Amino acid sequence: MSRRPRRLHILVIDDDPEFHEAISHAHKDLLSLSVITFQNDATLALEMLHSDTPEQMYQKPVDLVMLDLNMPGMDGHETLAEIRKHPKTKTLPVIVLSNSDLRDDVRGAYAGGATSYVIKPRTIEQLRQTVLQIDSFWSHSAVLPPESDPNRAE
Amino acid sequence: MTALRDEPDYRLCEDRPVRHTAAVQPHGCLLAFDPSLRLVAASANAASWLDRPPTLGVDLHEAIPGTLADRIAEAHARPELRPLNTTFRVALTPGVCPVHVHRNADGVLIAELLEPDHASAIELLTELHHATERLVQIDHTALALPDVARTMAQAVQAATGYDRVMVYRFLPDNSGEVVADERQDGMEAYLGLRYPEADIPKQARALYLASPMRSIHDASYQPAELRAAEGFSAASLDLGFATIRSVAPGHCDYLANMGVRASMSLSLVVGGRLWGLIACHHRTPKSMPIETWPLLRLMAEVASGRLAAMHEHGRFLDTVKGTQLTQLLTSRLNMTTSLCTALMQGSPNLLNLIDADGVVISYLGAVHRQGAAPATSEDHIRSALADRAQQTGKSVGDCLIQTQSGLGDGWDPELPGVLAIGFTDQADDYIAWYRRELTQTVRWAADPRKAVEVENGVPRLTPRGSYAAWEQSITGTSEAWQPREIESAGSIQKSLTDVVIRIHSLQEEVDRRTRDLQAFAYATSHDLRKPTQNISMRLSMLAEQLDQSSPEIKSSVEAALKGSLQLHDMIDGIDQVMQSTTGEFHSVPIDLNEVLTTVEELFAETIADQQVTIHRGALPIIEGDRGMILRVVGNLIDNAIKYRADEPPVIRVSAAYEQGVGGRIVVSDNGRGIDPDRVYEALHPFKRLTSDPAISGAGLGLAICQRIARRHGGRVFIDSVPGQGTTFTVTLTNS
Repeated sequence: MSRRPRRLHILVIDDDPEFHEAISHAHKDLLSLSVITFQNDATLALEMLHSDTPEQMYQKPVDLVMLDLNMPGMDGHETLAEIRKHPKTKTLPVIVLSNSDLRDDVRGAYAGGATSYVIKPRTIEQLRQTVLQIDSFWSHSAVLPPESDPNRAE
Repeated sequence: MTALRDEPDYRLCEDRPVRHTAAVQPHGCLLAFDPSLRLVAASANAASWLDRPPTLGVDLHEAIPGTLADRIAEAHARPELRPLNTTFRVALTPGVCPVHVHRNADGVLIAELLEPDHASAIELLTELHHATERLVQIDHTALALPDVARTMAQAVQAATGYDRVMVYRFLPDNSGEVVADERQDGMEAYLGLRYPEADIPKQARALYLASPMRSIHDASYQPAELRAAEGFSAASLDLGFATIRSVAPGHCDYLANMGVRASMSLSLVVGGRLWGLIACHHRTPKSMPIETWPLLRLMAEVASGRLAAMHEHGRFLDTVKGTQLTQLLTSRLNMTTSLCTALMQGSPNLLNLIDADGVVISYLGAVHRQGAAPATSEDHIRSALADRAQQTGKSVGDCLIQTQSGLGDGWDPELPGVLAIGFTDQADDYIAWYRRELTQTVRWAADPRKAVEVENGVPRLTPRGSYAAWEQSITGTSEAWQPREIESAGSIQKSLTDVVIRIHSLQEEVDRRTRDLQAFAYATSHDLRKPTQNISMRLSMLAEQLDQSSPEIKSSVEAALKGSLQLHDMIDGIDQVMQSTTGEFHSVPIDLNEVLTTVEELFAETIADQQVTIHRGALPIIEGDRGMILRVVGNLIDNAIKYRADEPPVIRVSAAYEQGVGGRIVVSDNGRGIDPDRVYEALHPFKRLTSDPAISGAGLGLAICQRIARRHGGRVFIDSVPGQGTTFTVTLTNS
């Protein structure tokens, strides 16, 4: 178990380009070392996660997913279910970042195996706080709590 | 009228002959001719008028002396005398005799030859004419029945000279009551006495309806029996319209026991029914000359007409009153949202419409009572309405039940009168009026239970020896429901049915629109989140990038950012309103101490910053939805801090609760207070009572509290003194 901060590879699955830009902005402000991949189509995101030979070989595997719920086509709940179903990603941390505070969405996400549920921040300052917390927490976690996968490569 | 104990079976008397007595009173004789004018029957005393016994079974001209035969044949031949009913005078053995000729229902021509009379018919006719005029002049709009009846009795007595003239009225149970009694001095008063049905049995009433007048010249007469030609039965001869018809056996004894020798009665017919009689008694033999009979019959008709007019007028006034009240009530029904308020409170109300001792409305499971109304009666009424609906195949909303004597076992005996209507298709929804027991005393002319006796297996009327009045107390019944009252109940039933149908369809429409609006509000608040979030995010980024070199632009962007954040709050507020209106509701025990502690933790920073003091009263464990109650307490504390006055906020929280009854949560503050005129605006969504930019919020806090209180069966009360503070009371009635 390493205490050394890791360089995280974060996959943001969200159809809203505005949010992509805000996340990039926040990371830049924070001088974060994390690598961020944006995907606005959940189906393509799943392909990328589950592929044995990722096209972008230069990239290391995804460490964390930031998932929107309200998306055209495959929505966040379905995407989450697919992630949890697949052996390769069933323990991958998935943080839902949604505008919705509906009981059904929150309960559904946690029941579907979301690691955390965060309401999308309203300002860049709040977003920086959120990103910082997520980054610093997950980059210090060598192995995923609580049900870590011993087979997973460090 | 209730049933009497040991009630005699009056039907036993109904085969008593009335029209077919086969005999006549001996002050006249009777000749009967078949349609070919063959003499088929003659009374045994005919020889006294004809000088010789008439020859039965032969033609008129052979059977009786020529002058009389000619006159009868002439009457028979005259077409203008159809239906045949005429009188003339002919010189016969006893002198110049009045002759009455008529044809009965079987086509038999009947000639009655009477004794010569000495009274001046002209004088009598003049008197009767005056009497008729007096009847015509009766003001039926100003007088009540006793006065009208007395005027009639006086007029008839003055014109006819009978010792006693009574107006006798049939009651719904066919017993009779004396409503006017004009009599010579020294005669016993009969006014107000009741006579049992058997005194004037059914077949007699039927005859009185058909034939408006009859007379007994001398009750102590020996009847002169009819003799019939061969092949003709005297007993088959219908004497219903014969003036000297012998009356039913026993009737003369009945009169004799009253000390009456002669009687005459005129029928009073109102609306095709035998309303009553003008009954005349005389202590010595007496009858009216045959020429006066048409005028007497006319008098009876005029009297009947006056009674009809009086009843019509009464009914008209009742109907007008009923219609006016029904219209007023209906218009109130249409203006209100609460049926019970419209019908029970203010004026006119259901007890003005129908004069009763109490009334009940049962509607949508709630029972509203006014006046005397037995709580034990509800099941009886429900099952009576349901039974009626089932029997008639009608909707309960078209059923009406009424009784003066309760609805069976378990009914409150003090309120035996009930008039009930349904107005929906449920027997649970009804209006019922109640009337108290009315103990009434009836003075019978004699014990009505002894009116009929069975003698040798044959029932006959007892000619009563004693006329000592017999008093009977009638209990267990209320005053009768009048036709007008039943009509009014029917009208209000129709109006109510219409209103309920309208309310029902309106409610459905409201529900549908509410669902639409809720769906719309949900979709709106949800869809607004993303663009709002985009805007605030962009604006916050922009605000950071702008440096102090362009302070005007920077402050504009900051203002725009603030606006977009407010928009977020409002969207959150809408969601909370929706949640508190339609969201899930889980009633659980809630410790208010714990709730207040949680709220204090949530507001810890503000409480410290603003030096807020919160005094905690006794806080019980209540029942309700935990999330909602937390929100109510949070909103009220938030409100008290936001709308603070200059001095540090002091907030007192107390509560009371009783299981199964409900309770209240009270939050009072020393804040700036609310203008009393605007108190209820405060409960409206998006209503902020201040334009103070320092006070943030979407203006939804109290609207949410109000909705949560409603979900708990209560509401929010605001008691505020501007400048001193406000007390918010949230009531909870959920058990």
